[in-house]
Amino acid sequence: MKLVIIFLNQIEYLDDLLAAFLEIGVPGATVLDSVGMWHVISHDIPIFAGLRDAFAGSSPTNKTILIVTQEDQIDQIDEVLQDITGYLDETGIAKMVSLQIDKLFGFKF
Amino acid sequence: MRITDYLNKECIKIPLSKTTKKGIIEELLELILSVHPEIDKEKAFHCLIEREKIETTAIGDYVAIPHARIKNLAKIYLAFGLSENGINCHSIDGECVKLFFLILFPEEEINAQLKFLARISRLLKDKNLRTKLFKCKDHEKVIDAFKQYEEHHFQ
Repeated sequence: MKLVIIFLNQIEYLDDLLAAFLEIGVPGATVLDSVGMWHVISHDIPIFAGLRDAFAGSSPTNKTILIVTQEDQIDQIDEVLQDITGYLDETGIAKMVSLQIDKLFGFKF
Repeated sequence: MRITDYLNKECIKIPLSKTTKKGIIEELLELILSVHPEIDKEKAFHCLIEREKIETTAIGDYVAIPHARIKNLAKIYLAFGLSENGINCHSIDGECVKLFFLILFPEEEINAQLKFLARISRLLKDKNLRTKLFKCKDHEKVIDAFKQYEEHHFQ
């Protein structure tokens, strides 16, 4: 089993993404509100406020999506993410990683 | 990145003579300009004041780090000054500022600016270092204080 983590910076894609995940049979996902480090640094730590203009393009909030899934579904998730967001063609849209899970507790598939 | 690599005796003033934030920014900028006259004073001063308008650089614990990003600057320049009585700079903790670090960054080098500001603001969180700096009577003591601290904490 794998843990897929998607960092979605352009959150307008979220609805379509979750709908598409349902279509391909993703068993469930957890969506977290998150904030990127650059935004926190330039907006919440006064000494770095002068860098706000340098990070003006970064979104104030993003979403972190956690999915526990079968290994054979990873490529499908990546395809869906590409189709909907085009995240590999442009930086700053989304990023995705998958991690091996040692043990699972409380999951039913 | 070590602060001591950027500190030099010509750019250290103890005590500062001016008694306002603007005055001290100008006083410290003059120190840098005395060594690097090629820097455009008007532009640098304007950028420093504009940066202060975004949010205070008086970060608390008697410390202020006025700084600015300037186009076509060759490298990072640093000046230090100690105000013995402290200056009201509307710092985030409401305390007067005694330790002033003025820094000019090349506009294009954002990563260097981030690292430098992170390092100096983290260093100055240490009460022992601040206490040492308060007691410094000349530039050698300032450089020694930073040298000792960086050697001990950042191998």
